Amino acid sequence: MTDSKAIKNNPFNEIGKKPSMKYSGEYSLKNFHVEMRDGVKIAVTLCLPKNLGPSDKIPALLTQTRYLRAMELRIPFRWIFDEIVSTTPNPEIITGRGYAFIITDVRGTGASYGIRKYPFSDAEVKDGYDIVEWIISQPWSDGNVVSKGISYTGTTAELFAVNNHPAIKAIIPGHGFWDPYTDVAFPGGAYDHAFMELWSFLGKNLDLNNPKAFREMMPELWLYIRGVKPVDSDKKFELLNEAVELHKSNEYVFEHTLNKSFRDERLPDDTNIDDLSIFKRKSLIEKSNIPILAWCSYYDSGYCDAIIHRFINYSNPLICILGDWNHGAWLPANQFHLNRTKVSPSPTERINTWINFFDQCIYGDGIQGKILYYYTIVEEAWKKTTIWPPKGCNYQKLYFSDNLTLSKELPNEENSKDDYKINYRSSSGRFNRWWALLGLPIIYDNRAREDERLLTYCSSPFKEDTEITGHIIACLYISSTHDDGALFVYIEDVDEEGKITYITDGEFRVIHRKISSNLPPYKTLIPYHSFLEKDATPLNPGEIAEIKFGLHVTSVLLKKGHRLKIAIAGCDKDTFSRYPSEGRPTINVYHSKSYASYIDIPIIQNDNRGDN
Amino acid sequence: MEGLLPIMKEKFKQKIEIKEDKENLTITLNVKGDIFGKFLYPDEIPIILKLYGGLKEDLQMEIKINEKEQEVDIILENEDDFKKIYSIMKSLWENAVDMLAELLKGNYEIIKDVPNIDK
Repeated sequence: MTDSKAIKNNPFNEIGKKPSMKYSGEYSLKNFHVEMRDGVKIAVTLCLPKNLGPSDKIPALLTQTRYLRAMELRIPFRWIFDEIVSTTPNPEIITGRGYAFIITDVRGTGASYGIRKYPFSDAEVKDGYDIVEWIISQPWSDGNVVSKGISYTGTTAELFAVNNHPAIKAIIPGHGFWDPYTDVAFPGGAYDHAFMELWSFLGKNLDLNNPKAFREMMPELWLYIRGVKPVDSDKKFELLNEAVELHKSNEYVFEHTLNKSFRDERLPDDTNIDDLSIFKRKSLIEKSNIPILAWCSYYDSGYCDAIIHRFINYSNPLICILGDWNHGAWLPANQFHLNRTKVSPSPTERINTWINFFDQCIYGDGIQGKILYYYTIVEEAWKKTTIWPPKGCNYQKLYFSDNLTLSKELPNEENSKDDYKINYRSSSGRFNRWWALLGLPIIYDNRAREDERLLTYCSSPFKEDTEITGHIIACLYISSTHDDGALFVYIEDVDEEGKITYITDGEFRVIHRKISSNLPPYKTLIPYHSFLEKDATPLNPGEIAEIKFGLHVTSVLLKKGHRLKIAIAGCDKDTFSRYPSEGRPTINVYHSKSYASYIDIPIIQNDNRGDN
Repeated sequence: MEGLLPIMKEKFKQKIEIKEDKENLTITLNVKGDIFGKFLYPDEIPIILKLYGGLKEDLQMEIKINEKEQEVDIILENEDDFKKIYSIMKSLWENAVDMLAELLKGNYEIIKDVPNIDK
């Protein structure tokens, strides 16, 4: 993002006033327990400006995590640096800009007591209310509380609004889901086995205060972190050991979701996956009318789509941001610039922008209406819009055609089809958008090699620069030798020299293919599949079926002379469960007059590009 | 942590003094000034030797911790072990910083040969 065009509409320049430091940036740090309504003790780390005057009153910024609120470092780092405050490298900026910074271990994790059967439970959400009550009773509190976070802590920040506490003034959920079924656990109904297993492994080890999970998943943390920071009074680790003993009764999502398929399958306490979602709590969040700034990246799991769902569903005052970095924006992820090493905006620029937003909500006029900032890859330009899809968006179909091509023309022959025997070695690798949830780099650098295993179709060169912004829809007419299967559809840019670059993708388990006529639980811009058990529709082997689904949102400029390529796989072996679990289907992809498979592309008309 | 990388090596150099006593096969680490939290847990020296120093085997060593003086004596059993550990110690902090820089760049290969140091 070094192009000068990236300055215009850049949310990190536009949001709020320029930062001003109210305190020196030095801060005091305390670790202690706060008791919740049911007696469960929650571990809290409190950072206050060191030069806070006795009559000074300041707002509080709260982050509730399950990844250790504060970590004790290994030597030699512990001899030089203070304990690390989880996921937030900038307590000096937060306290310097006049906020108390409070981080908690959610119940059942870290140095907190309690047992958790699943994440984001109502009890966990209600703890937010109790913590606010504690915060506003403190002598330094001015009665205002805001919350922010990334990933898990982004979701706890968003669910914080559910409490409808009048002290809560704004929230910033970053890189979080909207619908955990489609955004992370079962994208397109296919089980994200790798993440669910690793995330549970990580959680279990963290809850038992064993850093070995970091080695597998966040080695940069493992290098310098010894474990969770106990509360200050717990010199002999007795309280921590008691808490960890309780955590041994925790349950983990992998145990509850493995070998499941449907949205309505049961979790503990007679819940289902929707009960953990944001969308099911939307009305409570809207009731609060709390201003929200939600942000994510096109390359991050299904969380990119969660941004669009927030934008088209929430009535709250809302700013949304979609950029080109990895999960949490620690690394750049623009696939057209894989040599970039520095992420833009930097973590410091980011935290300052977030505090600008909070300042505006606490001290200023707040925000009105909705705005979505989105970055167009290749054009390397920020844009903003108050409507989605953006002004000038028109869908254009590219039909699968003979000789593995894509054409604007409807096929006019009958019985044209391509056979494809599923290659179960195909994989998008371990640096894809799903593994990214572990904080890994995002690198799809194997597309040329990978495409050799897949069924691919390629367009002719584009005659002009063409902006694609929104959800590409895939509509495939297929028959199969088996009644179950999954389709993984990759969209790629091919330049004049044949270099292939990943743009986006989508995945879909075919038994969920029925397009539901029922009202979706929230507004969506892609074909609505209920993913309910009653709607499961296995294929009849040999019979042609329509499989229509949305790919993950993108915004990219396809340059004049480049071609668009679609690559179809039947598995993504390093990430998703295999469908069917046994056997090796052959599928036929039809491109005939009666069964014209296509992709539908949201193209922004040339005269609207960059004007909104 | 990333923002602190450029100053880390110098800070460690200033903060931690390493002394060798060949006669008594003892390496002493003395940490100057304020530190954060506990000075040293008994299991930490063998862990960092493996983690940052590339040590593969379990060497016999006696660890004497003086919490108040922020000093630890590492007493080895023989001269070969003493030489090996002293040589590792001399570049241990620099290695730690270099490894962190590599991991932050996404180069996870750098830890693939580190033995199991966790519970």
